[in-house]
Amino acid sequence: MARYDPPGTGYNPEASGPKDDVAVAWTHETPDWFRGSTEPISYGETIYAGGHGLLALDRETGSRQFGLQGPYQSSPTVAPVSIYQTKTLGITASGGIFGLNAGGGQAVPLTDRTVGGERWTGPRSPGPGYFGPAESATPITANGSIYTAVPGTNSLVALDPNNGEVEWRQTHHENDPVSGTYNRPAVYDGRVFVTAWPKQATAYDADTGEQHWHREIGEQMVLPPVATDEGVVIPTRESVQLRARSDGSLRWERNLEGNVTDSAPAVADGTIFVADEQESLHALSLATGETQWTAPFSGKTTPVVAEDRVYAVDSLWALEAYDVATGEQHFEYHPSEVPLSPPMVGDGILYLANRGRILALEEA
Amino acid sequence: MPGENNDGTERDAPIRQLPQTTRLSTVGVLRTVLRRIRRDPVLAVPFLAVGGLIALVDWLRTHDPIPATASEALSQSVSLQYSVLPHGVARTARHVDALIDLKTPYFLWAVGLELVVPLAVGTAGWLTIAWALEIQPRLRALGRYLIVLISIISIPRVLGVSSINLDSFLLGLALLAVLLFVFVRLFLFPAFLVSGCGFMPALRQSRRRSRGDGMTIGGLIFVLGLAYWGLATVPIVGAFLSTALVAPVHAVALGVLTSTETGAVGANPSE
Repeated sequence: MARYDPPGTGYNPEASGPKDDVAVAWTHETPDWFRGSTEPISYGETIYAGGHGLLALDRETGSRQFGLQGPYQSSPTVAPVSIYQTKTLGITASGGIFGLNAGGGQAVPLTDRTVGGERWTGPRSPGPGYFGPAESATPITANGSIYTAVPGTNSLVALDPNNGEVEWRQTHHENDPVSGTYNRPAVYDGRVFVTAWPKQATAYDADTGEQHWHREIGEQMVLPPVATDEGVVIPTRESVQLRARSDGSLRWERNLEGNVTDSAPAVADGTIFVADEQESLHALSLATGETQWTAPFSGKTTPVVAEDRVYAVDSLWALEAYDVATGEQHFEYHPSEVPLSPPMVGDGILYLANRGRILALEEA
Repeated sequence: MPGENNDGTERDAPIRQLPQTTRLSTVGVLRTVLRRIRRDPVLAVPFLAVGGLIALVDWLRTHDPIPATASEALSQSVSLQYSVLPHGVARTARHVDALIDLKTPYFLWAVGLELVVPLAVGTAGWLTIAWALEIQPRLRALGRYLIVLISIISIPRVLGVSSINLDSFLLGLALLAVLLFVFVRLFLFPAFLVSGCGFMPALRQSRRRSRGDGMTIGGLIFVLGLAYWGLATVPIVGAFLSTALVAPVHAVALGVLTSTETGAVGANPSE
């Protein structure tokens, strides 16, 4: 799933990526219908990427296993199923939530059609709003369920991966014209932590959807949370907060004087990596919020961490790598096309979606 | 009740034709159909049972773990749920996509559930039409009837075309006119299949016998299509109502239109 794990750390302790520079290991030129800008994921020997459809590529060579054209936009999430022989991929679009066959389905002889690619359609979004179609939401899998915001609504749902049935649904400001779609949920120890504009931070029981706590944050703009042993990391426009998982009480708050509107933090080995969307990428102590280092970084980003590197794509156009301990920049890579998605790390390779291509970058 | 058919061989045109000067009105046919069913209520029994079966299958689809959706027709503001063969409109649907890569027990369950409905609908249609024609139901005719029914159901599903949505008004009208013409010509096809004709002879007979009755049959298609859809939209019992009330009328209408008896009861002389 996007951000590697249900808590949303963006840190894969088993993986490593290129250290000092990158070279293209393989490039997959996508079909015309594909437009990728969300983080690819991997399952087994397959890379999955969403963008006006779903592409499944061989991890080693980049050759296409299958493609499903459709409205699907988000990063997919691999979910376990009890009734199918292949996993289900949860994926969202501006129109709603979908369950796809991780095996791609079966080709219909003598046609270019595939059957069995899309297993179910989950909760649908309302039509386009005042600002156009809703943005897709990032789904995650935990405890055998798919958790995701319903695009274009104020609702969070838990879905059965077998058939897309809603196990529970929670909506903030149900009878209020205020509208803020939940950010990517973070699941940890049986609880689902979510944030949303304006000021919303809430914890629900992962099994029942019962609300454990709800807090109104001091700032309107609240970004996706990361759940950790120490507490829930909640970034806002200007600051980063750590709140207790048990009751949402504030442990510490660090004002970075940021202007964050579209970034998310990564957390690895007691350190938070977060951009302020002004001029810096920060490494903060998870325990205290104190700065460990800062590095020049001007744009929005959703970094990932592997071994001793932080990989951050600056404003969807430049991939940069920083030393986890010191913040020293080791390389920068500019693709020929934009946008460039956040990377997925595995086996010394970085995998990224790059508009009409999927890229695998290895150590140069 | 079913009439005895003394002819043991397969026939191309087993039913006596109406006099060429006879014209039927839609209302006249419907009145005749209702009179036939009142006089012989057994004609309604097969689809009454199938209505209960479809309602049960609806319930099973929503309670088993395999993906199911609400029937597409029920989300439309208006829909003509007409099919060449008498049928029922379920409130739920299960797409072919949901069956691919199912584990064997679930696959067998889902396929069984999807097969039992057309088999029951086909058998009920075959039986009711034969009784309405007052001929002996023949197994060979049932086989042909089921082949047509399963083709009508499965081919659009595999090709991913489940219904025709008319978004452009003018294009929609043109398409509707073409479809209506085709459906009028095919309207009597099931009756000739049940009476023992092969596929092509039944098509030819249907085309030939529907000439001159286009308005009547077109009216029937509208009334039946709207009734199938309208009753199916009733919450919970819609599938039962749609199947149990409309399908027998459809099936008996086929019998009425192709039998000589109709001319005496429901026809208006043409000018």
